Amino acid sequence: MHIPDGVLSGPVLVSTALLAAGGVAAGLRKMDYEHVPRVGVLSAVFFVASLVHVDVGVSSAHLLLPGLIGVMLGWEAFPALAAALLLQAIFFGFGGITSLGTNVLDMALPAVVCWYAFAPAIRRSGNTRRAFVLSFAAGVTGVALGCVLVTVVLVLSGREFTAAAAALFAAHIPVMAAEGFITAAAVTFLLKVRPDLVGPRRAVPLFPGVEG
Amino acid sequence: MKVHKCHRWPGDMLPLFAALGVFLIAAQPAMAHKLSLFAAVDGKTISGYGYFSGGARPHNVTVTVTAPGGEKLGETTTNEKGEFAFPVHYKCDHILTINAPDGHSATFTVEAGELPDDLPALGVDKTRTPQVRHLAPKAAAPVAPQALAPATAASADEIDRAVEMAVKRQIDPLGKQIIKYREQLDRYEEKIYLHDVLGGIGYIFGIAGIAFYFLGTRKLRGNGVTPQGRGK
Repeated sequence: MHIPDGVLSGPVLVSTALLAAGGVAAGLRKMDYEHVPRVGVLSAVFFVASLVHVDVGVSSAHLLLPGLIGVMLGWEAFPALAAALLLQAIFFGFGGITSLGTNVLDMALPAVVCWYAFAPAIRRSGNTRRAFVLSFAAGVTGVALGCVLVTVVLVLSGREFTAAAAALFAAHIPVMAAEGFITAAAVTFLLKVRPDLVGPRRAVPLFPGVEG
Repeated sequence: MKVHKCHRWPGDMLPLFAALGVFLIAAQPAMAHKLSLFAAVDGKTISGYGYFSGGARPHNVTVTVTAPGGEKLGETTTNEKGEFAFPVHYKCDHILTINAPDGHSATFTVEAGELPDDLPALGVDKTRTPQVRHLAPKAAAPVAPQALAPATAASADEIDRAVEMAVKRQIDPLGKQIIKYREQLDRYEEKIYLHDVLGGIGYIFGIAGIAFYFLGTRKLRGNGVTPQGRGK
């Protein structure tokens, strides 16, 4: 899922970088004081989780967590993933610097889609089973959308569609299943202990007594 | 404005920290999802293999060989073990590029100095076009050293050849050893170290801290508080 330097064509790199920059700006604008720790922690979770690699035969795969990050952060997924991906590129040569924008877009956009598609429903779902099913779907959808986006950028850069799509989906079907369970477990747990961490949020004043 | 309970965040974020801790422990043998390439010269063949850090090998993936000038020298394909071989026709730098269909790629350069001296320089022999070949058998085993003729009959030529053979016999295992070490070095370079992972997490928390400061300042101002204290 991390596309290295020198694979994509110039126009694809530039346009995805611009889109990703827009997403990061939107995420930073929407980011509230109270959400900074959450964004930082999820950025760190992504940073570590996507380093753990599993051999799936033809290729290797790792967790991406767009579903979990999406339903918890929404647009703030963009700055969270941008920071983590930049550090992965610098430290481990994982992905690349010129392809940073593409990688951010490929992973953060599915997260934002999951936010709009699943977060309100998860928040409203009265019972645990419903929340479990919805967040499982969010985990699967996030990874699937990520694969679709990577296929799109590869095809736009002149790669053959079937080979790219087959390779990506073959490697990511186990990831989708794993992410479904991880997202579902994490979200249902959070709904029990801190329901406000999931889904649309309310503003909380910094010092409740001090108001302008 | 409705007054909400003010959360103390370290406590609130405890479940997330716990999750991060679990990931960290799981990450001990962590390996990046990255494609790498290793190659070495064996006679007049460049042989090597691609590998995803973590052990998986890329099957049936094209390896393109180009000269430094960008001229394509040929291509080959990896087998089920991710290995490939490429017959060398010219003495020049060979840049190997492996391109997996899912967007991973890696390059490796075999320098001209590693190739046998009796190969023509690139561009000298125009009649011999580079060939596209799939995993070719390894180059024929070196010719067994000839028995030395009695010293009295040995011409300078024969002595030369005998010395060459003797030296080759001595050096061959050494070369294999060096290839082994280079392979090991390559893997160490690709390895993910825990201190790098911790450093990255530290950076992320540091960036979050800076964002916290600036957003907090903005928020305080919005609430009529200057950074120095409660103003107005």
